[in-house]
Amino acid sequence: MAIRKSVDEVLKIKPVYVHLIHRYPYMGPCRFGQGEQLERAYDEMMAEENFQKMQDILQELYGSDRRFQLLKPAYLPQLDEFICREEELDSVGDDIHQADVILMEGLMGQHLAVNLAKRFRKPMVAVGCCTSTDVTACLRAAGFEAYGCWLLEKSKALMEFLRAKKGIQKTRVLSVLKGDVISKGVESNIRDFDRITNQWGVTFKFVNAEDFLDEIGNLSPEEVETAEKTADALMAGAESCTVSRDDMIRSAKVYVAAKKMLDLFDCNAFTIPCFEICATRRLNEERYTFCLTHSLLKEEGIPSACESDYNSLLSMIVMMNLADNAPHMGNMHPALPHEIPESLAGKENLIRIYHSVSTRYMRGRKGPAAPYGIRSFTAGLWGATLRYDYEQDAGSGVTMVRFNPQGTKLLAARARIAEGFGYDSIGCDNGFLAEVEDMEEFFEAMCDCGHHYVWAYGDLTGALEKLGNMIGFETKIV
Amino acid sequence: MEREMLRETMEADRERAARFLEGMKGGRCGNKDAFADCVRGYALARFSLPEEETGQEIAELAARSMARAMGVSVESFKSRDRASGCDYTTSVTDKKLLLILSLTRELGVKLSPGLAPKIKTLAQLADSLWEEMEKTCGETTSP
Repeated sequence: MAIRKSVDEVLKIKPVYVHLIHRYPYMGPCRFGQGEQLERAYDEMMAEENFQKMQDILQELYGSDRRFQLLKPAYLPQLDEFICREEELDSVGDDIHQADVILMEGLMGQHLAVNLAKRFRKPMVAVGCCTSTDVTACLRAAGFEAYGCWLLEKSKALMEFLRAKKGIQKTRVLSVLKGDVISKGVESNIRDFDRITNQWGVTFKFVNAEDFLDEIGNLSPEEVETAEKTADALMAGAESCTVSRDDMIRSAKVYVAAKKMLDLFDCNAFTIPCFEICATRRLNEERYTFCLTHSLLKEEGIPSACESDYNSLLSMIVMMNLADNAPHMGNMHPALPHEIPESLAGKENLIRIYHSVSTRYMRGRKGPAAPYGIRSFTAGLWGATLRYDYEQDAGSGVTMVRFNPQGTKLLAARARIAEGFGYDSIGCDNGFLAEVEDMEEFFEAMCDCGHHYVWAYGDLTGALEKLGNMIGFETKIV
Repeated sequence: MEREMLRETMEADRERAARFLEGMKGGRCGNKDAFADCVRGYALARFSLPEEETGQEIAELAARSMARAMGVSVESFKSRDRASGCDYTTSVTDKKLLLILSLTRELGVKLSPGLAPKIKTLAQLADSLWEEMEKTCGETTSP
C-alpha cells in the first residue's frame, strides 16, 4: 500500500546566492576598501568563496536530513548597473518550479530576491542583516510569503515549520459518514470544510459507513493474514492482554480495511463516527471498535481521530506534522470532586482527559516504543484498545490542543500530569489527571472550543503559535 | 616604543615579501618546487607570520595572522569573523583574496574567480599560479 503520508512530505529548498559585482574600481557610498579590494576580480572571487561557504553550511544543515531536499544552488551576480533581466532570473535553473521555498543569501540581493519571489511565486527565506528584513517587508506588504533569518544556521528551525506547513497542505482526509457529516457526539465540530481546503490545502473525501463496514468483512486472504500478523505481534509485545486472539484479529481487520480505503481514495488522514455506527448494532454483531485502528494509524504517521471530530483531526494533523508524534486524544473536563482521588485531595486546578486511543509512540514516532497493555472496549471483552500507564509520567508537562468550531483559532493549553488512570479498566477510560494554572480561565477557553483534545508531551505552545502565523490560524495559549 | 617596533616589523615583512616575489619572478619558467617555496615565503610575510610557520591552510594562516594583530586567541577571532554588513566579507576571506590578487597582479597572470574557493592551501595556490605562468611562458618546466 502506498499511502503518501503528510509527515513524510519533503520540503524542497532552492538555495540562491546573490553578490553585487562592481564593474570598475571606484570608491563611494556603496564601496569600502582600497587597492585590490576595489577590483572586479575581488568581488567575483569573494562571491565564489561565499557561494561555496553557503553550500557547505547548507549541506551540513540539511544534507543528511530526509525531511529536506536541497535543489541545485544557483549563484546570481548583480552587476552595479542594477538592472534585473529576465534571463538572469531564468538562470536560477528549471528546478525553481519544483521548489517549495527559495533560500537566499548574499550581498545587495534585495532587488533580485524580490523579483525572484514575484516571478516564480515561491515563498522566500532571505538571510542576512539588512537583506532579510528589506526583502521580507517588501514581499509581505505585497501579499507574498516571506521570512527572514539573520544567520543561515537559523534557517533550519524556520524550514521545519515550512515543512510542517507543506505536510498540512498535503493532507487528504477520508471521513466515514453515517447519516450526517456532523456526528451528534460533536456539535462543536468544524463545518466549513471549503474554507479549510481553500486556506490550508487540507481536502476531504467522504465514504458511506456501510461501504467501509462491508470492506472489513470482505478482506482478501492476504489482507486477513496481515490482520492476523498485526494482532499476533501486538499481543506478543503487550505487558498484558485481556482480549482473545479472535477478537484481536477482528479489531486488526478494521485497521487493514482502513488502510485499504485510505490507499484506494488516496487519503492520508482518517476519521469515523462511533455513536451513529454503534447504533447500527453491526459492531456488536461483528465484535470490533475503531480504537485500535486510530492508535495504529497514528503510529504510522496517519492522523486518525475519534468520533468524526474534525477539530481534533485538524489539531492532530497540525501536531503530528510539527512534532512527528502519535498522540492520544480524549474527552477533557475539569475533574469533578468525586473524580479526584485521595492522593490529590485538596488540589483545585485539575482536569481529566481520557479516551482509549493511546499509542506506543506518544513521545515521538522515531523514539522507542512505550510499554502497553491491551484491554477491551466493551464488557463483552471485544473491541481491542491499547492502554498506557500514565502514572509513570506523573510530573511531565503536556500541551493539549483543539480548534474552535470556526477552525480559526487553536486553543493550546499547558498542564502537568498529576496521576494516571484506566490502564486496567475497560471502555473509553484511559488517561490522566493534570494540573493547570487557572481552572476558571482554562474552562472558559474550553467553552469556545469544545470537549475533545489532542495532546503531546512538552510545551508546544510557542511552536504552534509560529506555525499558526504561517498557516493562518490564531493560537490562544492558556 | 611599541609603535616603532610595529613599524619596524611591518617594514621587515614588506622586505621579506619583496624578496620572495623577486624569487618567483626570477624563477619564472624555472623550478616548480622553488617557486612553491617562494609563494609560501611571500604569503607568510604578507601575513606577518614567522618563516618557521609550518601550516598550509590559507584560511588558518590568515586567522592566525588576524588573531595576532588583534591580540586575541585564534578561537576567539574565528568565532567573531562572520560575513555581514554592506561588504559581506570575512576578514579571513579578504586576506586570502588579497593574497591571491596581489600575486596574480605581480606575476601578470589571471585566475578564474571559480578557482578561489578551491584554493585552500599554499601548495594549491602555487600550483594554480604555476599553471598560468606555464601558459604564458610556453615552455615545459618539468624538473
